[in-house]
Amino acid sequence: MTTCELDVLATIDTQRTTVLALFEAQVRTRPDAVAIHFEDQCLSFVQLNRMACQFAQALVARGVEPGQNVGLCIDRCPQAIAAMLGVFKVNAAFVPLDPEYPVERIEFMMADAAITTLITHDRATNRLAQLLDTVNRGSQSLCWIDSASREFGGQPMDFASLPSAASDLAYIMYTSGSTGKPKGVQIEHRALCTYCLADIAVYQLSPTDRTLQFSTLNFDIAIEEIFPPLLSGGSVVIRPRLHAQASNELSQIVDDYGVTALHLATAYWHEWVDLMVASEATVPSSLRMVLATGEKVSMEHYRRWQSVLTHQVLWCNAYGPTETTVTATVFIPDAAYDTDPMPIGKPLPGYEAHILDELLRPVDEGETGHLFIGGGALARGYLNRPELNEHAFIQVPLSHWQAHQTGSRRLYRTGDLARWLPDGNIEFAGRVDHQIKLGSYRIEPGEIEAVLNTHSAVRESLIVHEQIETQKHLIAYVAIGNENQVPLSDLVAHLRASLPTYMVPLRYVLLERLPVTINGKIDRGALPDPNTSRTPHNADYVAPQSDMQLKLAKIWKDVLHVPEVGADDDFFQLGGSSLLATRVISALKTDINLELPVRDFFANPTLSAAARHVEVLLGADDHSPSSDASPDSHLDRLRLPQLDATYIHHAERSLFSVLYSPQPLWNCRRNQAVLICNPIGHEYARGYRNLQQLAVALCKAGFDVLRFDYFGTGNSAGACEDFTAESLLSDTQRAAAYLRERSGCQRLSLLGLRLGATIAHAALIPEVEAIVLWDPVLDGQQHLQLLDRLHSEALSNQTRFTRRITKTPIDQAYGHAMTNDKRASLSKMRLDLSQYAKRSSLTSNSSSLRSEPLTTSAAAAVPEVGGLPKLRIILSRGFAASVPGAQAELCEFIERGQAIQTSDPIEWGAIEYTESAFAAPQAMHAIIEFFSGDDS
Amino acid sequence: MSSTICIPSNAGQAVVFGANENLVGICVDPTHQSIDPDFAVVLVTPGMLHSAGPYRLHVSLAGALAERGIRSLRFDLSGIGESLPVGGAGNSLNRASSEIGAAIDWLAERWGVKRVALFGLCAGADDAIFAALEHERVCGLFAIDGCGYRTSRFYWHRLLNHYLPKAVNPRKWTRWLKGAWGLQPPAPASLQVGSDIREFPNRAVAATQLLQLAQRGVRMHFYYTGGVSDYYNYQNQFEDMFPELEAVEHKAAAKHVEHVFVPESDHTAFLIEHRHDLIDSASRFLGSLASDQPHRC
Repeated sequence: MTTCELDVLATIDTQRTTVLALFEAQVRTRPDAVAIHFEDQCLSFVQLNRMACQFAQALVARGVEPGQNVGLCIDRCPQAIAAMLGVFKVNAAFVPLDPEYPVERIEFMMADAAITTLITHDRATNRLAQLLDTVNRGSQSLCWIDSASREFGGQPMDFASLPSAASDLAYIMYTSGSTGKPKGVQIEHRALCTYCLADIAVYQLSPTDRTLQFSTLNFDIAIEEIFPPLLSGGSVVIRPRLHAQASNELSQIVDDYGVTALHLATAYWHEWVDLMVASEATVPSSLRMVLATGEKVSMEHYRRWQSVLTHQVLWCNAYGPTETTVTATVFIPDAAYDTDPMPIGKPLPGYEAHILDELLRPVDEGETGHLFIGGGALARGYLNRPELNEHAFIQVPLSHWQAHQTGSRRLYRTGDLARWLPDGNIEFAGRVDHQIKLGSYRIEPGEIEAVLNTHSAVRESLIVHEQIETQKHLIAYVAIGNENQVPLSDLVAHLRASLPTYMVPLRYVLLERLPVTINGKIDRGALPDPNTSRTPHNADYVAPQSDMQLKLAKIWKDVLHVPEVGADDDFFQLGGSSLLATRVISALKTDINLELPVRDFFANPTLSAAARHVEVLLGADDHSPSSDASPDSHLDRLRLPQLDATYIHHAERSLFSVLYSPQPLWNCRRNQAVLICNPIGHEYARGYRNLQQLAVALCKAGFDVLRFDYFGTGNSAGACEDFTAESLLSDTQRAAAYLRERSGCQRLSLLGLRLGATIAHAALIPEVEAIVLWDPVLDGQQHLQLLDRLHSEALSNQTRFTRRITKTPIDQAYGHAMTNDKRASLSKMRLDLSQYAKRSSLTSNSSSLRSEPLTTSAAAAVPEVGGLPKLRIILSRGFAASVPGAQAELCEFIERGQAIQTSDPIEWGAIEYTESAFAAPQAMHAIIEFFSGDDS
Repeated sequence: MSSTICIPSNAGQAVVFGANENLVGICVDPTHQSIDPDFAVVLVTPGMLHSAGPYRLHVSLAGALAERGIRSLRFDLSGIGESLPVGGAGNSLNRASSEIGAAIDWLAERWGVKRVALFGLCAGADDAIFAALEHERVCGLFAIDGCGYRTSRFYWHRLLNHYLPKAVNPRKWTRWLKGAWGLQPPAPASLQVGSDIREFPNRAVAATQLLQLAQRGVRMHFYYTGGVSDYYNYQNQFEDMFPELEAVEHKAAAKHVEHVFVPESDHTAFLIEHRHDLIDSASRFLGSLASDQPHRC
């Protein structure tokens, strides 16, 4: 934008205009300029405006009136942007509703916002059919507009926008609420205008800019990506639906579309920087502005960013809650900036920032206070939540600040602590309300407390977290008075009925009342030590009895950092690994001078068995060892599944398999089955114990579980070099059919690790209920490259070989015999989750960025979304960062909660770990809960 | 060189056995006519790896033995692979021996096997020797990287082939200096192969055990790789470790003990060509046991 144009914008009175008016001004000024790039299409400003008019016509035809709210249940696409503008044209407000949200959540939002008209598309309507039925059966009826329907396309392309005022509502954005329900933040046109003009000025947006629209529409970052670029005459590049094959998808998109401006979540920016550093790539040359927002910026990544920069790029660290429209403050460091923590900067034009004490008086420089935001971009408030508005949006008399001043200032209480730096920047100093980041989840403790407090035995509660090494756990302090007694399992069941599993605390401290300060506030410092907390037990919990059980339980608790260990608890299922077993061994050596091999833990994994084993060893001179047929071992055996090992024969192949079935005595059989798909090569050995443990654990939860080896792998027949992608897929299909036939269970779910995940998804097994993809291989070619690299590193490893080996005469890749055919076949494997990914109605005429996929999109088997298996992706620590393209490929699944990140350190790509088993307690816990239906 | 080691065309029979029905194994029958139906090989779980062995070593060996007309049974010790942990049976050597005994019993009951040879790698070699002492039906064993004891010549070879090359390697100095300055990344937080406690008896006990087995007519083949160069690092170290076997009065028995050092191979025969050599050596040795006269057991 020229200086002149910027000056013009600066004169706009945001109190009198609307975003729509500013957009229509751009339509008149540059009708043929490109407004939207999407895959291989371009829409000019005038074309976008015509599409918006069509939406407006359709809305009017369905009786939408000014001031009403219109639901927008649609993915990223040009229609979504046109729909927003169309809603503005009828002077209504749009409400983004993520099509992937739970139906109950969408139902709540629609009721809260009194939505009677929904703009959506075919996939979402399938998913929401039940909801729509429910609504239509009720007192009100719901209209929906299919953004791709012919009827819609046939609307006139002109529409005279209805009059609107700056004080009219532009949109409602729902955010997580501490009371257990999401809260709708109402943004008026004047706030949106204030924000957009500030954004354009600070980031110097111009008509030559191309801004990437990367975020899902229900985050405020999407507002930042759409409106300022359009209002400045620039264009919006919508992220293609089918992701690029390039290892660095983001760089590829930026290069392909000449993107100049990027707005990224900080975590994603970190990943992108790492990827560029790892691949020795540089920042794409077209970029001139990058903004990171949402979390604390790592200085190390800022330094790395400088190392991959070859040209000047405006880099910004932005801060802002949804209640201030989008960004409220921004810090723009220079290249030499090197102080940690990085400030969140100064307020944008039209915004104010105040750091106040408890009495709402400004604090001195360097002192910590509460951060308040003021100015023209504040939200109108939360919809239907007067009690929240009263607390969050306050009128502060100016006399608080300067005695002679009168009047007041409306401010938003951010809930963040901050301090002024000498240079006028603001430094973030944490949350007031103890918001907790657990893995990839941001948790409002108040949301958990609110649910807990509805339990009849609970008077009040407090949720905190404890971090031990890399693991964070939620701890609930629960006040139950002096008469009530409540089993912890009741509290857990109560929480699980309303909250996702990740929000249910693992540990509980029951108190008569919570300690309070003299001011009547909860005195966190006086809370009992978290080590006094208890873990809820299943009904079959047995406390340690003998001296040796008690002694071992203490050692296990110390080593595993768990508050309690029961006599029947399994060392490995509590999170133990072979390395942690060595710590127990070391403690035993010190305490009782007994030396045990690690494999003794594998043979005696429960506390009672381990204690019995140690007792026998200590008394070996006086007692003969217990035999395999002793009553104790018989009892141990009854606690474990029935085994049926056999070879499955098909297509002249013999596949080794073991069927795990619940013992009849357990009385827990569900008539549901799980098929486990192994990785291949050394990853098969690395994951072996974990998958076997999962088979046992799932079986104990009532599932019939089949483990099997593909042809040419494990104990199956066939030479390693002879298996191909096709044989892996057909073996999996056969194993699934065998499992259904042998167990009699028609309800089948799949679990795959690494390439096993890719195979499980690609095998097109019909009528699968749920599928878990654990650290899936996204691309067969990348996987082969990984194996080749590890192989090459192993050859030069002088710990493994006495002499360095440069090459070998046989084609092999880390233990695999390879052939050209096998390589070609495996390299074509792809994990194609496009059926789960967001799609727009333009799917039918768009071209795919993928070439010749062997993939096996789930669409071929189950054409309707409603028929897709329930999906859960489990990502171990660092997985997404270590696999090129993974973060981009999976980010929307993470955003939607379909993918969860654990802190289990597995390190598939590190040569140091290639021979190591690993402990993955979080993944195993998540998988068992997902299949058991305890997961939301 | 062909990448094919052995294609186990005969996959075998999957079995669950043991007093608690908790041990999972695979019995592979001879592909052609059996050399000796009374003879079979039991492949012992290699440490904490499951019954397929490292890079399917045990599967390939079973295929090679089947081609030679020899039946084999490979299985997971309890708590390893698919075999369920039920505790009991004393320390790990006792437990392994008891479970190897169960495998021998299964072969006897199902196939009438009277003589058994054991194949073991790493901890599996330790288990095989211990089990051979306890079970009279064991007539031979092939032990890879079994027990070892440092000798005076060991230290000379260690200096010559290990420390001196490191001393002149600038990368090693860089690593050492980084370590000294705390710049070296921390060691991986996981248990590495070979990190577990090996249950070697002391040297004198081991010598006695070997003599006891040899005098019983148990034929033994000890196969050492470069992967255990921290305790075995030169050709014929075995003879220096056990001079008792050279004593005149034990000469006859000592003929039952063979050994070889394969420094180019690593501990798990990672490279296909090394597995090929190992399987060839093992199947020839075990095949020769099958052809032996029964009275030697």
